[in-house]
Amino acid sequence: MSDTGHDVEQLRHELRQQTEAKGDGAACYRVETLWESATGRLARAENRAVVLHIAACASCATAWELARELAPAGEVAERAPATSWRRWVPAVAAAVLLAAVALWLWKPAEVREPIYRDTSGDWIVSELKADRSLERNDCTLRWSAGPEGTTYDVRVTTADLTPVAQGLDLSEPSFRVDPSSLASVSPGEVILWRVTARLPDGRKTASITFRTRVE
Amino acid sequence: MAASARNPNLGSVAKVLSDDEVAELRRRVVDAVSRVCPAWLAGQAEDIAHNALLQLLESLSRRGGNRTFSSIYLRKAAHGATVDEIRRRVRRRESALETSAGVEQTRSAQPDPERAGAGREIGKAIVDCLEELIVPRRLAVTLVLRGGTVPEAARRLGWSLKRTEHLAYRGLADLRQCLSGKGWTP
Repeated sequence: MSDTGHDVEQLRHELRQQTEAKGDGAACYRVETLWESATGRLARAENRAVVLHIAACASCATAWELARELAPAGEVAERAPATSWRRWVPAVAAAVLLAAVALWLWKPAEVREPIYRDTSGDWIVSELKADRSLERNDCTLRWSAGPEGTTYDVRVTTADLTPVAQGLDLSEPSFRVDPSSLASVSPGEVILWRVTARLPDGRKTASITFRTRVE
Repeated sequence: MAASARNPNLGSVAKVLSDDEVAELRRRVVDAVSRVCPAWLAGQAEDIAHNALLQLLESLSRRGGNRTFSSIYLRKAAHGATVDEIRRRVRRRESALETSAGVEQTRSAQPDPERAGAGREIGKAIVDCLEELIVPRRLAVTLVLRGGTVPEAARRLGWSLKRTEHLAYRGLADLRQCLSGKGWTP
Protein backbone atom coordinates (compact mmCIF):
# COMPACT_ATOMS: atom_id res chain seq x y z
CA MET A 1 0.00 0.00 0.00
CA SER A 2 1.25 3.44 -0.77
CA ASP A 3 0.71 5.32 2.47
CA THR A 4 1.74 8.61 0.98
CA GLY A 5 -0.51 8.43 -2.03
CA HIS A 6 -2.28 11.51 -3.21
CA ASP A 7 -5.60 10.66 -1.64
CA VAL A 8 -3.99 9.91 1.74
CA GLU A 9 -2.24 13.27 1.62
CA GLN A 10 -5.55 14.88 0.79
CA LEU A 11 -7.26 13.07 3.66
CA ARG A 12 -4.51 14.26 6.00
CA HIS A 13 -4.97 17.79 4.80
CA GLU A 14 -8.75 17.70 5.15
CA LEU A 15 -8.50 16.11 8.59
CA ARG A 16 -6.40 19.03 9.78
CA GLN A 17 -9.21 21.40 8.87
CA GLN A 18 -11.27 19.70 11.53
CA THR A 19 -10.60 21.63 14.69
CA GLU A 20 -13.48 20.62 16.90
CA ALA A 21 -13.47 17.90 19.50
CA LYS A 22 -16.10 15.21 19.31
CA GLY A 23 -18.91 15.20 21.82
CA ASP A 24 -18.52 17.88 24.43
CA GLY A 25 -14.79 18.01 23.78
CA ALA A 26 -14.05 18.03 27.47
CA ALA A 27 -12.09 14.86 28.12
CA CYS A 28 -8.51 15.32 27.04
CA TYR A 29 -5.24 13.73 27.98
CA ARG A 30 -2.54 15.50 29.88
CA VAL A 31 0.02 17.07 27.63
CA GLU A 32 2.69 14.88 29.25
CA THR A 33 0.74 11.76 28.30
CA LEU A 34 0.41 12.96 24.71
CA TRP A 35 4.15 13.62 24.65
CA GLU A 36 4.88 10.13 25.96
CA SER A 37 2.57 8.60 23.38
CA ALA A 38 4.08 10.59 20.52
CA THR A 39 7.58 9.60 21.59
CA GLY A 40 6.65 5.94 22.04
CA ARG A 41 7.06 5.78 25.80
CA LEU A 42 3.58 4.79 26.88
CA ALA A 43 2.48 1.29 27.77
CA ARG A 44 0.82 -0.33 24.77
CA ALA A 45 -2.75 -0.33 26.10
CA GLU A 46 -2.64 3.27 27.14
CA ASN A 47 -0.96 4.30 23.91
CA ARG A 48 -3.81 2.75 21.94
CA ALA A 49 -6.32 4.60 24.10
CA VAL A 50 -4.52 7.84 23.33
CA VAL A 51 -4.52 7.11 19.58
CA LEU A 52 -8.24 6.38 19.70
CA HIS A 53 -8.74 9.69 21.48
CA ILE A 54 -6.75 11.69 18.94
CA ALA A 55 -8.83 10.10 16.20
CA ALA A 56 -11.70 12.21 17.49
CA CYS A 57 -10.11 15.17 19.28
CA ALA A 58 -8.52 17.81 17.11
CA SER A 59 -6.67 19.74 19.82
CA CYS A 60 -5.12 16.58 21.29
CA ALA A 61 -4.27 15.42 17.78
CA THR A 62 -2.50 18.72 17.12
CA ALA A 63 -0.63 18.44 20.42
CA TRP A 64 0.33 14.86 19.59
CA GLU A 65 1.54 15.81 16.11
CA LEU A 66 3.62 18.68 17.47
CA ALA A 67 5.25 16.36 19.99
CA ARG A 68 5.89 13.83 17.24
CA GLU A 69 7.58 16.48 15.14
CA LEU A 70 9.64 17.69 18.09
CA ALA A 71 10.88 14.31 19.22
CA PRO A 72 14.50 13.78 18.21
CA ALA A 73 14.95 11.50 15.22
CA GLY A 74 14.84 7.88 16.22
CA GLU A 75 13.38 8.64 19.62
CA VAL A 76 10.15 6.75 18.97
CA ALA A 77 10.69 3.60 20.92
CA GLU A 78 10.58 0.32 19.09
CA ARG A 79 7.86 -2.05 20.17
CA ALA A 80 8.31 -5.73 19.59
CA PRO A 81 5.89 -6.82 16.86
CA ALA A 82 3.76 -9.87 17.25
CA THR A 83 5.56 -12.99 16.07
CA SER A 84 4.75 -16.55 15.15
CA TRP A 85 2.30 -18.28 17.50
CA ARG A 86 4.85 -21.04 18.22
CA ARG A 87 7.00 -18.58 20.08
CA TRP A 88 4.16 -17.94 22.44
CA VAL A 89 3.53 -21.57 23.41
CA PRO A 90 5.81 -21.51 26.50
CA ALA A 91 4.45 -18.17 27.56
CA VAL A 92 0.86 -19.30 27.12
CA ALA A 93 1.52 -22.46 29.10
CA ALA A 94 3.06 -20.43 31.90
CA ALA A 95 0.16 -18.02 31.75
CA VAL A 96 -2.35 -20.86 32.17
CA LEU A 97 -0.48 -22.09 35.23
CA LEU A 98 -0.38 -18.63 36.65
CA ALA A 99 -3.99 -17.91 35.89
CA ALA A 100 -5.27 -19.74 38.95
CA VAL A 101 -2.93 -17.78 41.18
CA ALA A 102 -3.87 -14.61 39.43
CA LEU A 103 -7.55 -15.24 40.08
CA TRP A 104 -6.82 -15.02 43.79
CA LEU A 105 -4.88 -11.84 43.45
CA TRP A 106 -6.52 -10.25 40.48
CA LYS A 107 -7.62 -6.68 40.50
CA PRO A 108 -8.26 -4.47 37.52
CA ALA A 109 -5.13 -3.03 35.98
CA GLU A 110 -4.81 0.64 36.59
CA VAL A 111 -5.73 2.52 33.46
CA ARG A 112 -5.08 6.18 33.56
CA GLU A 113 -8.26 8.00 32.67
CA PRO A 114 -8.24 11.07 30.51
CA ILE A 115 -8.31 14.11 32.70
CA TYR A 116 -10.96 16.71 32.19
CA ARG A 117 -9.82 19.75 30.41
CA ASP A 118 -9.13 22.46 32.93
CA THR A 119 -11.22 25.41 31.94
CA SER A 120 -11.02 27.21 35.22
CA GLY A 121 -8.02 29.36 34.27
CA ASP A 122 -10.20 31.42 31.99
CA TRP A 123 -11.86 33.08 34.96
CA ILE A 124 -8.65 34.87 35.89
CA VAL A 125 -8.90 38.20 34.11
CA SER A 126 -6.98 41.40 34.60
CA GLU A 127 -8.91 44.08 36.41
CA LEU A 128 -6.70 46.83 35.08
CA LYS A 129 -8.10 49.03 32.36
CA ALA A 130 -6.65 47.99 29.04
CA ASP A 131 -5.66 51.49 27.99
CA ARG A 132 -4.38 52.62 31.35
CA SER A 133 -0.70 52.78 32.25
CA LEU A 134 0.50 52.26 35.79
CA GLU A 135 2.79 54.57 37.67
CA ARG A 136 5.97 52.79 38.68
CA ASN A 137 5.59 54.06 42.23
CA ASP A 138 2.15 52.49 42.45
CA CYS A 139 2.38 49.54 40.11
CA THR A 140 -0.29 47.32 41.57
CA LEU A 141 -1.52 44.45 39.44
CA ARG A 142 -5.09 43.29 40.07
CA TRP A 143 -7.09 40.37 38.80
CA SER A 144 -10.42 38.65 39.40
CA ALA A 145 -10.70 36.75 42.65
CA GLY A 146 -11.23 33.01 42.94
CA PRO A 147 -13.32 31.29 45.62
CA GLU A 148 -12.64 32.01 49.27
CA GLY A 149 -9.33 30.44 50.26
CA THR A 150 -7.70 30.71 46.82
CA THR A 151 -4.03 31.69 46.86
CA TYR A 152 -2.09 33.17 43.95
CA ASP A 153 1.39 33.33 42.50
CA VAL A 154 2.13 36.12 40.08
CA ARG A 155 5.22 36.43 37.94
CA VAL A 156 6.22 39.56 36.12
CA THR A 157 8.70 39.95 33.28
CA THR A 158 9.67 42.56 30.75
CA ALA A 159 8.45 42.17 27.19
CA ASP A 160 11.68 40.35 26.33
CA LEU A 161 10.95 37.91 29.16
CA THR A 162 13.51 39.17 31.65
CA PRO A 163 12.15 38.39 35.13
CA VAL A 164 11.17 41.49 37.06
CA ALA A 165 9.30 40.37 40.16
CA GLN A 166 7.20 37.65 41.62
CA GLY A 167 4.71 37.28 44.44
CA LEU A 168 4.04 33.88 45.92
CA ASP A 169 1.23 32.55 48.10
CA LEU A 170 -0.75 35.75 47.82
CA SER A 171 -4.07 35.59 49.60
CA GLU A 172 -5.48 38.61 47.78
CA PRO A 173 -5.89 39.03 44.00
CA SER A 174 -3.41 41.87 43.73
CA PHE A 175 0.33 42.42 43.79
CA ARG A 176 2.31 45.59 44.12
CA VAL A 177 5.54 45.52 42.16
CA ASP A 178 8.30 47.13 44.17
CA PRO A 179 9.49 50.29 42.35
CA SER A 180 13.10 49.15 42.73
CA SER A 181 12.26 46.03 40.72
CA LEU A 182 11.18 48.27 37.86
CA ALA A 183 14.55 49.95 37.57
CA SER A 184 15.29 48.05 34.36
CA VAL A 185 11.89 48.91 32.87
CA SER A 186 11.94 52.09 30.81
CA PRO A 187 9.04 54.56 31.06
CA GLY A 188 6.31 53.52 28.63
CA GLU A 189 7.59 49.95 28.43
CA VAL A 190 5.20 47.00 28.69
CA ILE A 191 5.51 44.39 31.42
CA LEU A 192 4.03 40.91 31.10
CA TRP A 193 2.43 39.17 34.05
CA ARG A 194 0.74 35.88 34.65
CA VAL A 195 -1.22 34.58 37.61
CA THR A 196 -1.33 31.02 38.87
CA ALA A 197 -4.18 30.28 41.27
CA ARG A 198 -4.39 27.43 43.75
CA LEU A 199 -8.02 26.72 44.50
CA PRO A 200 -9.20 25.52 47.91
CA ASP A 201 -9.80 22.02 46.50
CA GLY A 202 -6.13 21.78 45.50
CA ARG A 203 -6.54 22.41 41.80
CA LYS A 204 -4.03 24.73 40.23
CA THR A 205 -4.73 26.84 37.18
CA ALA A 206 -3.03 29.62 35.29
CA SER A 207 -4.19 32.73 33.52
CA ILE A 208 -3.17 33.95 30.12
CA THR A 209 -0.33 36.46 30.04
CA PHE A 210 -1.45 40.03 30.67
CA ARG A 211 0.31 43.14 29.39
CA THR A 212 0.51 46.40 31.25
CA ARG A 213 2.36 49.58 30.37
CA VAL A 214 4.45 51.21 33.09
CA GLU A 215 5.24 54.92 33.16
CA MET B 1 -1.46 43.25 48.69
CA ALA B 2 -1.39 40.21 50.87
CA ALA B 3 0.84 40.16 53.86
CA SER B 4 1.57 36.54 53.10
CA ALA B 5 3.69 37.29 50.07
CA ARG B 6 6.79 35.40 51.05
CA ASN B 7 9.00 36.66 48.31
CA PRO B 8 7.61 39.74 46.65
CA ASN B 9 10.52 40.36 44.35
CA LEU B 10 12.43 37.82 42.44
CA GLY B 11 14.83 36.92 45.22
CA SER B 12 14.96 33.17 44.92
CA VAL B 13 15.33 33.04 41.15
CA ALA B 14 17.83 35.87 41.11
CA LYS B 15 19.95 33.97 43.61
CA VAL B 16 19.80 30.78 41.62
CA LEU B 17 20.47 32.26 38.18
CA SER B 18 22.77 35.04 37.15
CA ASP B 19 21.60 37.62 34.62
CA ASP B 20 23.64 35.89 31.95
CA GLU B 21 22.09 32.54 32.80
CA VAL B 22 18.59 33.99 32.65
CA ALA B 23 19.39 35.60 29.31
CA GLU B 24 20.73 32.32 27.97
CA LEU B 25 17.71 30.39 29.25
CA ARG B 26 15.39 32.96 27.68
CA ARG B 27 17.19 32.61 24.35
CA ARG B 28 16.86 28.83 24.45
CA VAL B 29 13.18 29.01 25.40
CA VAL B 30 12.39 31.42 22.57
CA ASP B 31 14.25 29.12 20.20
CA ALA B 32 12.39 26.04 21.47
CA VAL B 33 9.04 27.79 21.11
CA SER B 34 9.85 28.92 17.59
CA ARG B 35 10.46 25.26 16.68
CA VAL B 36 7.18 23.97 18.09
CA CYS B 37 4.79 26.87 17.57
CA PRO B 38 2.59 26.34 14.49
CA ALA B 39 2.48 29.19 12.02
CA TRP B 40 -1.11 29.97 12.89
CA LEU B 41 -0.05 30.62 16.49
CA ALA B 42 2.97 32.74 15.59
CA GLY B 43 1.26 35.84 16.91
CA GLN B 44 1.19 34.26 20.36
CA ALA B 45 4.75 32.93 20.28
CA GLU B 46 5.96 35.62 22.66
CA ASP B 47 3.27 34.84 25.21
CA ILE B 48 3.92 31.13 24.86
CA ALA B 49 7.63 31.67 25.44
CA HIS B 50 6.82 33.81 28.43
CA ASN B 51 4.64 31.11 29.95
CA ALA B 52 7.23 28.43 29.26
CA LEU B 53 9.99 30.53 30.82
CA LEU B 54 7.92 31.22 33.90
CA GLN B 55 7.19 27.53 34.32
CA LEU B 56 10.88 26.76 34.05
CA LEU B 57 11.77 29.43 36.59
CA GLU B 58 9.09 28.09 38.89
CA SER B 59 10.52 24.60 38.48
CA LEU B 60 13.96 26.00 39.22
CA SER B 61 12.71 27.70 42.38
CA ARG B 62 11.20 24.43 43.56
CA ARG B 63 14.08 22.13 42.87
CA GLY B 64 17.02 24.48 43.49
CA GLY B 65 20.38 22.78 42.96
CA ASN B 66 20.56 21.82 39.30
CA ARG B 67 20.46 25.03 37.29
CA THR B 68 20.59 23.54 33.83
CA PHE B 69 17.86 22.30 31.55
CA SER B 70 18.44 19.71 28.87
CA SER B 71 17.29 20.56 25.37
CA ILE B 72 14.62 17.86 25.54
CA TYR B 73 13.34 19.38 28.79
CA LEU B 74 13.09 22.77 27.11
CA ARG B 75 11.29 21.23 24.15
CA LYS B 76 8.78 19.63 26.48
CA ALA B 77 8.25 22.94 28.27
CA ALA B 78 7.76 24.72 24.94
CA HIS B 79 5.41 21.99 23.77
CA GLY B 80 3.40 22.16 27.01
CA ALA B 81 3.03 25.92 26.84
CA THR B 82 2.04 25.73 23.17
CA VAL B 83 -0.58 23.07 23.82
CA ASP B 84 -1.98 25.17 26.68
CA GLU B 85 -2.45 28.01 24.21
CA ILE B 86 -4.02 25.71 21.60
CA ARG B 87 -6.51 24.38 24.16
CA ARG B 88 -7.27 27.88 25.33
CA ARG B 89 -8.05 28.86 21.75
CA VAL B 90 -10.26 25.83 21.23
CA ARG B 91 -12.16 26.66 24.43
CA ARG B 92 -12.60 30.25 23.31
CA ARG B 93 -13.83 29.13 19.93
CA GLU B 94 -16.19 26.62 21.46
CA SER B 95 -17.68 29.26 23.69
CA ALA B 96 -17.70 32.10 21.19
CA LEU B 97 -18.39 29.96 18.13
CA GLU B 98 -15.55 31.60 16.32
CA THR B 99 -15.13 30.28 12.84
CA SER B 100 -11.96 31.83 11.59
CA ALA B 101 -9.19 30.19 13.62
CA GLY B 102 -8.70 26.83 11.97
CA VAL B 103 -5.83 24.61 13.04
CA GLU B 104 -4.56 24.44 9.51
CA GLN B 105 -5.51 27.96 8.65
CA THR B 106 -2.10 29.45 8.11
CA ARG B 107 -0.17 26.24 7.82
CA SER B 108 -1.88 25.74 4.51
CA ALA B 109 -2.40 29.46 3.89
CA GLN B 110 -6.03 28.95 3.00
CA PRO B 111 -7.11 32.15 1.29
CA ASP B 112 -10.72 31.23 0.80
CA PRO B 113 -13.00 31.12 3.87
CA GLU B 114 -15.64 29.20 1.95
CA ARG B 115 -13.12 26.56 0.98
CA ALA B 116 -11.74 26.45 4.51
CA GLY B 117 -15.26 25.94 5.81
CA ALA B 118 -15.78 23.11 3.34
CA GLY B 119 -12.47 21.65 4.48
CA ARG B 120 -13.65 21.62 8.06
CA GLU B 121 -16.83 19.88 6.94
CA ILE B 122 -14.83 17.16 5.21
CA GLY B 123 -12.61 16.94 8.25
CA LYS B 124 -15.65 16.40 10.43
CA ALA B 125 -16.89 13.71 8.04
CA ILE B 126 -13.49 12.00 8.25
CA VAL B 127 -13.63 12.03 12.05
CA ASP B 128 -17.16 10.62 11.98
CA CYS B 129 -16.12 7.91 9.55
CA LEU B 130 -13.04 7.06 11.60
CA GLU B 131 -15.30 6.42 14.54
CA GLU B 132 -17.20 3.83 12.51
CA LEU B 133 -14.07 1.79 11.75
CA ILE B 134 -13.34 -1.27 13.83
CA VAL B 135 -10.77 -0.42 16.45
CA PRO B 136 -7.64 -2.01 14.92
CA ARG B 137 -8.32 -0.32 11.59
CA ARG B 138 -9.08 2.97 13.33
CA LEU B 139 -5.75 2.81 15.17
CA ALA B 140 -3.76 2.12 12.01
CA VAL B 141 -5.57 4.69 9.87
CA THR B 142 -5.40 7.39 12.55
CA LEU B 143 -1.64 7.07 12.83
CA VAL B 144 -1.23 7.13 9.06
CA LEU B 145 -3.49 10.15 8.69
CA ARG B 146 -1.70 11.96 11.49
CA GLY B 147 1.40 12.07 9.39
CA GLY B 148 3.08 8.76 10.08
CA THR B 149 4.15 6.03 7.71
CA VAL B 150 2.85 2.49 7.94
CA PRO B 151 6.18 1.21 9.37
CA GLU B 152 6.04 3.94 12.01
CA ALA B 153 2.45 3.01 12.86
CA ALA B 154 3.53 -0.62 13.16
CA ARG B 155 6.29 0.35 15.59
CA ARG B 156 3.96 2.50 17.66
CA LEU B 157 1.28 -0.16 17.89
CA GLY B 158 3.63 -3.08 18.36
CA TRP B 159 2.23 -4.87 15.34
CA SER B 160 3.98 -6.54 12.46
CA LEU B 161 4.42 -4.46 9.33
CA LYS B 162 2.28 -6.88 7.35
CA ARG B 163 -0.61 -6.72 9.79
CA THR B 164 -0.43 -2.94 10.01
CA GLU B 165 -0.33 -2.61 6.23
CA HIS B 166 -3.40 -4.80 5.93
CA LEU B 167 -5.32 -2.89 8.61
CA ALA B 168 -4.38 0.50 7.18
CA TYR B 169 -5.27 -0.60 3.65
CA ARG B 170 -8.64 -2.00 4.67
CA GLY B 171 -9.29 0.88 7.02
CA LEU B 172 -8.62 3.48 4.34
CA ALA B 173 -10.91 1.59 1.97
CA ASP B 174 -13.66 1.63 4.63
CA LEU B 175 -13.02 5.31 5.22
CA ARG B 176 -13.33 6.18 1.54
CA GLN B 177 -16.51 4.18 1.27
CA CYS B 178 -17.96 5.90 4.33
CA LEU B 179 -17.02 9.33 2.94
CA SER B 180 -18.60 8.49 -0.39
CA GLY B 181 -21.74 7.53 1.48
CA LYS B 182 -21.75 11.00 3.02
CA GLY B 183 -21.29 12.61 -0.36
CA TRP B 184 -17.54 13.29 -0.14
CA THR B 185 -15.05 11.89 -2.58
CA PRO B 186 -11.45 12.37 -1.53
